[in-house]
Amino acid sequence: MILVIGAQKSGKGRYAKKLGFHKRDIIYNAHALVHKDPENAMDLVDELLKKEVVTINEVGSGVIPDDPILRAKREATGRVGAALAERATKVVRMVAGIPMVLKDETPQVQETPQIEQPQE
Amino acid sequence: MTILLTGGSANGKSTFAEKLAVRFPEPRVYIATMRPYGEGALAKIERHRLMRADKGFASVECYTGVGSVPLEAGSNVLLECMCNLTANEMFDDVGNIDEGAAERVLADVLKLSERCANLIVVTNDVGSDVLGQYSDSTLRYIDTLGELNIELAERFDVVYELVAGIPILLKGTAL
Repeated sequence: MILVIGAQKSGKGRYAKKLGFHKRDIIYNAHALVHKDPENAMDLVDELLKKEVVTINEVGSGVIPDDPILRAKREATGRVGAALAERATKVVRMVAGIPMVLKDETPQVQETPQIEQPQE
Repeated sequence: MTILLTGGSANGKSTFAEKLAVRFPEPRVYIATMRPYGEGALAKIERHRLMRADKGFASVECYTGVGSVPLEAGSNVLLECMCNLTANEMFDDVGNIDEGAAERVLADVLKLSERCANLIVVTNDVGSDVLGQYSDSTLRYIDTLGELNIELAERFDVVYELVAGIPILLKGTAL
Protein backbone atom coordinates (compact mmCIF):
# COMPACT_ATOMS: atom_id res chain seq x y z
CA MET A 1 0.00 0.00 0.00
CA ILE A 2 1.16 3.50 -0.83
CA LEU A 3 0.41 6.03 1.90
CA VAL A 4 0.10 9.64 0.81
CA ILE A 5 0.28 12.01 3.77
CA GLY A 6 0.28 15.79 3.87
CA ALA A 7 -1.51 18.95 4.96
CA GLN A 8 -5.04 19.84 3.95
CA LYS A 9 -4.97 20.89 0.26
CA SER A 10 -1.38 19.84 -0.27
CA GLY A 11 -2.17 17.86 -3.43
CA LYS A 12 -2.62 14.34 -1.98
CA GLY A 13 -5.76 13.54 -3.95
CA ARG A 14 -4.38 14.69 -7.28
CA TYR A 15 -1.21 12.70 -6.71
CA ALA A 16 -3.11 9.55 -5.63
CA LYS A 17 -5.33 9.73 -8.69
CA LYS A 18 -2.33 9.98 -11.00
CA LEU A 19 -0.88 6.70 -9.69
CA GLY A 20 -3.34 4.94 -11.99
CA PHE A 21 -5.08 2.48 -9.67
CA HIS A 22 -8.77 1.66 -9.88
CA LYS A 23 -11.09 3.90 -7.84
CA ARG A 24 -12.07 0.99 -5.58
CA ASP A 25 -8.44 0.48 -4.55
CA ILE A 26 -7.93 4.06 -3.39
CA ILE A 27 -9.14 5.51 -0.10
CA TYR A 28 -9.12 9.29 -0.11
CA ASN A 29 -9.07 11.22 3.18
CA ALA A 30 -8.74 8.34 5.63
CA HIS A 31 -8.81 10.94 8.44
CA ALA A 32 -12.55 11.34 7.74
CA LEU A 33 -13.03 7.64 8.57
CA VAL A 34 -10.95 8.04 11.72
CA HIS A 35 -13.08 11.00 12.81
CA LYS A 36 -16.25 8.87 12.74
CA ASP A 37 -15.03 6.72 15.62
CA PRO A 38 -11.68 7.90 17.01
CA GLU A 39 -11.77 5.46 19.91
CA ASN A 40 -11.72 2.40 17.61
CA ALA A 41 -9.78 3.99 14.77
CA MET A 42 -6.91 1.50 14.96
CA ASP A 43 -9.35 -1.17 13.78
CA LEU A 44 -9.29 0.56 10.38
CA VAL A 45 -5.59 -0.09 9.84
CA ASP A 46 -5.78 -3.69 8.57
CA GLU A 47 -8.54 -2.88 6.09
CA LEU A 48 -6.73 0.22 4.82
CA LEU A 49 -3.54 -1.79 4.28
CA LYS A 50 -5.42 -3.98 1.78
CA LYS A 51 -5.88 -0.99 -0.53
CA GLU A 52 -3.38 0.19 -3.15
CA VAL A 53 -3.38 3.84 -2.07
CA VAL A 54 -4.53 5.66 1.07
CA THR A 55 -4.42 9.42 1.58
CA ILE A 56 -4.55 10.95 5.06
CA ASN A 57 -4.12 14.43 6.47
CA GLU A 58 -0.96 15.22 8.37
CA VAL A 59 -1.91 16.53 11.81
CA GLY A 60 -0.25 17.59 15.03
CA SER A 61 1.70 20.69 14.01
CA GLY A 62 -0.60 23.10 15.81
CA VAL A 63 -1.59 23.66 19.42
CA ILE A 64 -3.43 20.77 21.11
CA PRO A 65 -7.13 21.68 20.89
CA ASP A 66 -9.15 22.38 24.06
CA ASP A 67 -12.13 20.41 22.81
CA PRO A 68 -11.74 16.77 23.97
CA ILE A 69 -13.55 15.36 20.92
CA LEU A 70 -11.30 17.26 18.57
CA ARG A 71 -8.28 16.19 20.60
CA ALA A 72 -9.32 12.55 20.23
CA LYS A 73 -9.78 12.91 16.45
CA ARG A 74 -6.41 14.57 16.09
CA GLU A 75 -4.63 11.98 18.22
CA ALA A 76 -6.30 9.06 16.43
CA THR A 77 -5.48 10.48 12.99
CA GLY A 78 -1.83 10.78 13.96
CA ARG A 79 -1.68 7.25 15.40
CA VAL A 80 -3.44 5.69 12.42
CA GLY A 81 -1.15 7.60 10.05
CA ALA A 82 1.92 6.28 11.87
CA ALA A 83 0.57 2.71 11.95
CA LEU A 84 -0.14 2.82 8.22
CA ALA A 85 3.26 4.31 7.46
CA GLU A 86 4.98 1.57 9.43
CA ARG A 87 3.44 -1.17 7.30
CA ALA A 88 3.05 0.64 3.97
CA THR A 89 5.47 -0.31 1.19
CA LYS A 90 5.83 3.32 0.28
CA VAL A 91 5.14 6.61 2.08
CA VAL A 92 4.92 9.87 0.19
CA ARG A 93 4.56 13.25 1.87
CA MET A 94 3.04 16.12 -0.10
CA VAL A 95 4.03 19.78 0.32
CA ALA A 96 2.50 22.35 -2.01
CA GLY A 97 1.70 19.63 -4.55
CA ILE A 98 5.25 18.25 -4.53
CA PRO A 99 5.71 14.60 -3.53
CA MET A 100 8.59 13.64 -1.28
CA VAL A 101 9.27 9.95 -0.74
CA LEU A 102 9.81 9.27 2.97
CA LYS A 103 10.00 5.50 2.64
CA ASP A 104 10.12 3.09 -0.28
CA GLU A 105 10.25 -0.66 0.20
CA THR A 106 8.61 -1.54 -3.10
CA PRO A 107 10.09 -4.91 -4.14
CA GLN A 108 12.51 -4.36 -7.00
CA VAL A 109 11.91 -6.49 -10.05
CA GLN A 110 15.04 -8.47 -10.83
CA GLU A 111 16.11 -7.45 -14.30
CA THR A 112 17.09 -10.37 -16.47
CA PRO A 113 19.75 -9.46 -19.01
CA GLN A 114 18.27 -9.10 -22.47
CA ILE A 115 19.65 -11.27 -25.25
CA GLU A 116 20.38 -9.13 -28.22
CA GLN A 117 18.55 -10.23 -31.31
CA PRO A 118 20.53 -9.94 -34.51
CA GLN A 119 18.94 -7.32 -36.74
CA GLU A 120 17.52 -8.70 -39.93
CA MET B 1 14.31 32.87 -11.33
CA THR B 2 11.29 32.22 -9.12
CA ILE B 3 11.69 30.75 -5.63
CA LEU B 4 8.90 29.63 -3.28
CA LEU B 5 9.49 29.11 0.45
CA THR B 6 6.89 27.27 2.50
CA GLY B 7 6.65 25.77 5.99
CA GLY B 8 4.93 26.33 9.32
CA SER B 9 5.06 29.57 11.30
CA ALA B 10 8.33 30.57 12.97
CA ASN B 11 10.41 28.00 11.10
CA GLY B 12 12.86 30.49 9.64
CA LYS B 13 11.26 31.26 6.27
CA SER B 14 11.86 35.02 6.47
CA THR B 15 15.44 34.63 7.62
CA PHE B 16 16.23 32.19 4.81
CA ALA B 17 14.37 34.39 2.30
CA GLU B 18 16.54 37.36 3.17
CA LYS B 19 19.71 35.27 3.06
CA LEU B 20 18.80 34.27 -0.48
CA ALA B 21 17.67 37.75 -1.50
CA VAL B 22 20.93 39.48 -0.56
CA ARG B 23 22.77 37.14 -2.93
CA PHE B 24 20.98 38.89 -5.79
CA PRO B 25 22.21 42.36 -6.77
CA GLU B 26 20.43 45.63 -6.02
CA PRO B 27 17.89 47.05 -6.57
CA ARG B 28 16.26 44.78 -3.99
CA VAL B 29 12.63 45.34 -3.18
CA TYR B 30 10.81 43.95 -0.18
CA ILE B 31 7.04 43.81 -0.60
CA ALA B 32 5.31 43.72 2.78
CA THR B 33 1.70 42.58 2.75
CA MET B 34 0.77 42.55 6.44
CA ARG B 35 -1.77 45.21 7.35
CA PRO B 36 -0.47 47.05 10.42
CA TYR B 37 -3.45 46.16 12.64
CA GLY B 38 -3.04 45.08 16.25
CA GLU B 39 -0.09 44.54 18.54
CA GLY B 40 0.89 41.15 17.11
CA ALA B 41 1.14 42.52 13.58
CA LEU B 42 3.10 45.58 14.66
CA ALA B 43 5.62 43.45 16.58
CA LYS B 44 6.07 41.09 13.61
CA ILE B 45 6.49 44.01 11.18
CA GLU B 46 9.07 45.60 13.46
CA ARG B 47 10.96 42.29 13.74
CA HIS B 48 11.08 41.97 9.97
CA ARG B 49 12.09 45.64 9.55
CA LEU B 50 15.06 45.14 11.87
CA MET B 51 16.09 42.01 9.98
CA ARG B 52 16.15 43.99 6.72
CA ALA B 53 17.98 46.97 8.12
CA ASP B 54 21.21 47.70 6.22
CA LYS B 55 20.60 44.88 3.78
CA GLY B 56 19.86 47.20 0.89
CA PHE B 57 16.13 46.60 0.56
CA ALA B 58 13.66 49.23 -0.55
CA SER B 59 10.46 48.38 1.34
CA VAL B 60 7.04 48.69 -0.27
CA GLU B 61 3.84 48.19 1.67
CA CYS B 62 1.29 46.53 -0.58
CA TYR B 63 -1.82 44.82 0.80
CA THR B 64 -3.62 43.95 -2.44
CA GLY B 65 -2.86 43.97 -6.17
CA VAL B 66 0.85 43.07 -5.95
CA GLY B 67 1.03 42.63 -9.72
CA SER B 68 1.05 46.39 -10.15
CA VAL B 69 3.64 47.40 -7.53
CA PRO B 70 5.89 50.12 -9.01
CA LEU B 71 9.26 48.48 -9.77
CA GLU B 72 12.56 49.56 -11.24
CA ALA B 73 13.63 47.38 -14.18
CA GLY B 74 15.78 44.44 -13.09
CA SER B 75 14.58 44.45 -9.50
CA ASN B 76 15.09 41.47 -7.24
CA VAL B 77 11.94 41.09 -5.22
CA LEU B 78 11.07 39.41 -1.95
CA LEU B 79 7.30 39.08 -1.46
CA GLU B 80 6.20 38.35 2.09
CA CYS B 81 3.81 36.69 2.36
CA MET B 82 1.11 34.73 0.55
CA CYS B 83 -0.84 34.16 3.78
CA ASN B 84 -1.44 37.86 4.38
CA LEU B 85 -1.91 38.66 0.73
CA THR B 86 -4.50 35.91 0.33
CA ALA B 87 -6.38 37.00 3.47
CA ASN B 88 -6.31 40.64 2.32
CA GLU B 89 -7.69 39.76 -1.09
CA MET B 90 -10.17 37.20 0.19
CA PHE B 91 -11.90 38.96 3.10
CA ASP B 92 -13.29 42.48 3.49
CA ASP B 93 -13.43 44.31 6.85
CA VAL B 94 -16.51 42.41 7.99
CA GLY B 95 -15.28 39.00 6.81
CA ASN B 96 -17.22 38.61 3.55
CA ILE B 97 -15.47 36.29 1.10
CA ASP B 98 -14.50 37.49 -2.36
CA GLU B 99 -14.92 34.46 -4.63
CA GLY B 100 -12.48 35.76 -7.22
CA ALA B 101 -9.60 36.23 -4.79
CA ALA B 102 -7.59 33.07 -5.54
CA GLU B 103 -7.56 33.63 -9.27
CA ARG B 104 -6.61 37.29 -8.79
CA VAL B 105 -3.77 36.54 -6.36
CA LEU B 106 -2.30 33.91 -8.67
CA ALA B 107 -2.48 36.23 -11.68
CA ASP B 108 -0.92 39.05 -9.64
CA VAL B 109 2.03 37.00 -8.40
CA LEU B 110 2.71 35.64 -11.90
CA LYS B 111 2.54 39.18 -13.30
CA LEU B 112 4.95 40.32 -10.61
CA SER B 113 7.34 37.48 -11.49
CA GLU B 114 7.43 38.66 -15.10
CA ARG B 115 8.23 42.21 -14.05
CA CYS B 116 11.30 41.47 -11.93
CA ALA B 117 14.64 39.75 -12.42
CA ASN B 118 14.22 37.27 -9.59
CA LEU B 119 11.29 36.72 -7.26
CA ILE B 120 11.29 35.06 -3.85
CA VAL B 121 7.84 34.37 -2.41
CA VAL B 122 7.25 33.37 1.20
CA THR B 123 4.09 31.39 1.89
CA ASN B 124 2.84 29.32 4.81
CA ASP B 125 1.67 25.79 5.40
CA VAL B 126 -1.56 26.33 7.35
CA GLY B 127 -3.30 22.99 6.82
CA SER B 128 -1.08 20.76 8.95
CA ASP B 129 -3.41 20.02 11.82
CA VAL B 130 -6.87 18.76 12.65
CA LEU B 131 -9.36 21.23 11.17
CA GLY B 132 -12.38 20.96 13.47
CA GLN B 133 -11.63 24.07 15.51
CA TYR B 134 -11.93 26.43 12.55
CA SER B 135 -14.89 28.44 11.26
CA ASP B 136 -16.20 27.85 7.75
CA SER B 137 -14.51 30.97 6.43
CA THR B 138 -11.17 29.92 7.96
CA LEU B 139 -11.55 26.50 6.33
CA ARG B 140 -12.15 28.24 3.00
CA TYR B 141 -9.01 30.29 3.61
CA ILE B 142 -6.92 27.16 4.39
CA ASP B 143 -8.15 25.50 1.18
CA THR B 144 -7.54 28.63 -0.90
CA LEU B 145 -4.00 29.12 0.38
CA GLY B 146 -3.28 25.40 -0.11
CA GLU B 147 -4.45 25.56 -3.72
CA LEU B 148 -2.42 28.71 -4.35
CA ASN B 149 0.68 27.02 -2.94
CA ILE B 150 0.19 24.09 -5.34
CA GLU B 151 -0.32 26.44 -8.31
CA LEU B 152 2.79 28.48 -7.47
CA ALA B 153 4.97 25.45 -6.71
CA GLU B 154 4.01 23.98 -10.07
CA ARG B 155 5.15 27.11 -11.90
CA PHE B 156 8.13 28.25 -9.81
CA ASP B 157 11.70 27.14 -10.52
CA VAL B 158 12.75 26.36 -6.97
CA VAL B 159 10.67 25.30 -3.94
CA TYR B 160 11.94 24.88 -0.37
CA GLU B 161 10.21 23.82 2.81
CA LEU B 162 11.67 25.24 6.02
CA VAL B 163 11.70 23.01 9.10
CA ALA B 164 13.32 24.33 12.29
CA GLY B 165 15.30 26.77 10.18
CA ILE B 166 16.58 24.06 7.85
CA PRO B 167 15.73 24.42 4.16
CA ILE B 168 14.55 21.20 2.50
CA LEU B 169 14.74 21.39 -1.27
CA LEU B 170 11.49 20.13 -2.83
CA LYS B 171 12.01 21.27 -6.40
CA GLY B 172 14.79 22.64 -8.60
CA THR B 173 18.48 23.13 -7.85
CA ALA B 174 19.77 24.10 -4.40
CA LEU B 175 20.89 27.72 -4.27
